[in-house]
Amino acid sequence: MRIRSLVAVALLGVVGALSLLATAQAEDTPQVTTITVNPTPDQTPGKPVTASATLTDKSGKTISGVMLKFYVITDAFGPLPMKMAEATTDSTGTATVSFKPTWVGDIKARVYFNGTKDFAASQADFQFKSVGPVKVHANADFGLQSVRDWAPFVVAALVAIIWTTFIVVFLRVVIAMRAESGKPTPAKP
Amino acid sequence: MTTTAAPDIRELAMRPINQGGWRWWTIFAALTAVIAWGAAGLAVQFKDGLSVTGLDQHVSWGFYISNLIFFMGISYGAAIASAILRLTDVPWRRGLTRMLESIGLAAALAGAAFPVFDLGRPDRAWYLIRYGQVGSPVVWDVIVVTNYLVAVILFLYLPLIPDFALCRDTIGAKVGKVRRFLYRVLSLGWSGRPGQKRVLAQSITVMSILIIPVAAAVPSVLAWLFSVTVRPGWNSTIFAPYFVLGAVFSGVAALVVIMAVFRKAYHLEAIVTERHFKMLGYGLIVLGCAYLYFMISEYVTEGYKMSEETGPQLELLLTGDLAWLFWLFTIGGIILPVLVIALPPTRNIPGITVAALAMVLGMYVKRFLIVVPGLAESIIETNTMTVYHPTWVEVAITAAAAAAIPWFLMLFFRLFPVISIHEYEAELEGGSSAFEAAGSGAVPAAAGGK
Amino acid sequence: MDERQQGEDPVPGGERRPLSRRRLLGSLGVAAAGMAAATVIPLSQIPVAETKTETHGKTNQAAGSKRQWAFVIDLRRCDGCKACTDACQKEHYLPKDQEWIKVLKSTDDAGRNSYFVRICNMCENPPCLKVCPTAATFKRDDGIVLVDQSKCIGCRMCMVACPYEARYFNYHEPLKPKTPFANPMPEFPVPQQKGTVGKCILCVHNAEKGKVPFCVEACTMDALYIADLNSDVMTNSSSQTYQLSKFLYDNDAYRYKEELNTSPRVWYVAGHGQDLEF
Repeated sequence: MRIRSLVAVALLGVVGALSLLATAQAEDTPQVTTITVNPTPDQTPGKPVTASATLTDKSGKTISGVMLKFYVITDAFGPLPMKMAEATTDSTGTATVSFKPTWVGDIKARVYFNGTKDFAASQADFQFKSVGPVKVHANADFGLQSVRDWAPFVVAALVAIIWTTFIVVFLRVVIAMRAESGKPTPAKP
Repeated sequence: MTTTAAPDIRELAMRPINQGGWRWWTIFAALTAVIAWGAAGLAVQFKDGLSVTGLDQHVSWGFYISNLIFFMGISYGAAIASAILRLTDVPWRRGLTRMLESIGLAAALAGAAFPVFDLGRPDRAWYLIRYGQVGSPVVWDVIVVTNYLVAVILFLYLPLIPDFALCRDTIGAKVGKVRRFLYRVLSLGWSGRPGQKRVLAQSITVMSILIIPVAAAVPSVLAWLFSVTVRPGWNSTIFAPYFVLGAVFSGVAALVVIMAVFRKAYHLEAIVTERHFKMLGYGLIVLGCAYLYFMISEYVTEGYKMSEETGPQLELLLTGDLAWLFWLFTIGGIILPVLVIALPPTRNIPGITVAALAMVLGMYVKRFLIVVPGLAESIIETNTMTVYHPTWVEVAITAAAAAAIPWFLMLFFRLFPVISIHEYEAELEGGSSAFEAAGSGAVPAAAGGK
Repeated sequence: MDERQQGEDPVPGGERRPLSRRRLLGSLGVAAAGMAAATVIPLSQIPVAETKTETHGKTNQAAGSKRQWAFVIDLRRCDGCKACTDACQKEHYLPKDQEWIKVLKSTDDAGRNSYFVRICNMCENPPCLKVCPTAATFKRDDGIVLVDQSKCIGCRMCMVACPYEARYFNYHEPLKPKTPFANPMPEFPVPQQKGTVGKCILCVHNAEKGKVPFCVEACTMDALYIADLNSDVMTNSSSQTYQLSKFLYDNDAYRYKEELNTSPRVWYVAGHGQDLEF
């Protein structure tokens, strides 16, 4: 608890300092930027997806030479962005990446621009259809599978032989004893 | 070396059946008390679970698994020894086979109980059959122990048939109804006809052959219970033969001890002679040296490399906390007893008996040293050795199992002859009996002396 | 956790939990950057399909499950605080001698500590499963190895066979929640059964709902990641999400005792907390 409140105080302090800083440099506020994602074609089976996005400033002028990062929104643990690729915008302000999606379906994706001194950060969402094929994890092979498949039958056969012998020996003794039991006992020396 | 005159075998072998007396009852009561102590321990354990033992998250196998190996070892050691003596048709075996086979059964019953005692949920023991997974060494264990129990009962029973008939014919009238019924049913109508003798002889031979692999499978599977894991000291290819050898070694040693006791108690001096002790003593020398050889082979190869896993294990055993136990076993349990038997001045019945007793106790220590250190050393942390201290419950149950073997034998020999009378008489008949295996018509040595 | 479920603010590298002081120092810069990210576009929650469970015993089949759970431990970040162990023990009502996730400490000659985190490796060839006589230990299609404590007979062969010592026996009456669950499942064995063996369940009850395991959630150092091999994604308590295969390759990840052919599903990045220094 105490740590938590300490953290809160510290964060407040940082926020305050930053806002002060921002006010002081109000005239240098980074320009608002806009990311326009070009329509991303659905994936051709087995081929990477190519996505491109253009970064423009407030007046619609393209911004070149900055990094755009492309994320897909994963769904395994809630919607979380996972970085797939990044590229620098070219002279037309367009960054183009290609990557192989790792699962199939309608994939939500997002482009981030982290911002620079002159331009504010921005992001844009897009979608495309992934058709795969994707890697499906296969469990590792342990080895000697055929031997391990057959071994139980071999052992079962052995056990069956042993038990058959037990039964045959016992029955044979019982039958033999009974068959002969009526006859007179020979004299002992 | 041989007896002076043909002893009255029937009188001698049947004496325990008639012999009660205060001495028998005193010993029997003492053993029963020990078993009762163990039963109390078991009751506590069934009530409170394995938390009453000294086991913990690291040493999760302790006395019970050691006991399993130890008692099963004595059992199949005795059974294999009997089978080999029969198959090689050693003439002096006839005074011993009954004892060997009954030890085999008694120790097997004592040993087979321990896997159940060791379960966290003994009430679910039958799940081993209901859900049995053939891939599990535990299930292999169930299979081979079941096979073996059936085999050892048959192996004990077959040579008993003529003796049941003898009991039926001689004392059947004097004993109570239940026992008379028992003798009559179990003797299967034996009357000593040649046809019966032939079938019985063949069946015993078949069982003698079959019991060797069936019995050897038990220590092998017990060994695999350990060596299919990656625990230091257990991760070994030598374990199965190592366990088989240790089993025969401890089984023969236990036989010598029990033989000496029963010889005195039942006055069998005329049948169980010093020659028997010497012969088994020679066997113990060979087995002891072979066991030592296996040990040396194991420790030289591991000690040469001193890998991170087995190194601490070897240090623990050879120079560390458990070194006193290890050297107690090596010197007191193998080297000295072997010397005692090997040197002529001490190669007599008391000497051999004491040596054998040391070997039996030593083998118990050795089993403990196989089971516990393999778990005491963590395989994910370095320099962590867990110390295992058995509690009174474990000690009580172990003592009870040890007491249950003579207890069982005392009862057994109250009901059935301690010597295989039929076989003994067949021997005295000069091997002319159809009981003999083919080609063994001429029985040398002992028979010749008669 | 809930925030993530609602799909808010999934800013990469962003901070979302109360911070410890040590952590705060290292991450102030990141926090400032996060604040600069102006607009936040809410995402509709993406439904997570129920993972198919069942098929006991089939060890060699990965197909048939949407997810293949895995775990990544970045030892460069671990400071040995044992928050993971505490959270796990609290949430699963474990006694102190059962550390389903265990932090091992080693100290070098100079007195410097480094840590190693051991959890159940969810082996693809689990030795514990092979030796289980009653199939109480089973493996789900999604790779999670679990113990059905209503079938376990307590022989402890699995404890002996596990190369990672990841299994624990309930010697004593297990701790129970104040209001016990009606039907403890292998997926959430709370309370456990006395006389049986328990182990890490990788909080599959959470993972199926798209939540991270309790240990991951509790890790203040962001050192623990839950991962899915099929969609190739891994994430930690701060929702830092990476492409699994790339992360493992880039950071030279290894698996513990890989030479035993157990094919663990837990990857490690070697380290001793050096990430904290800068």
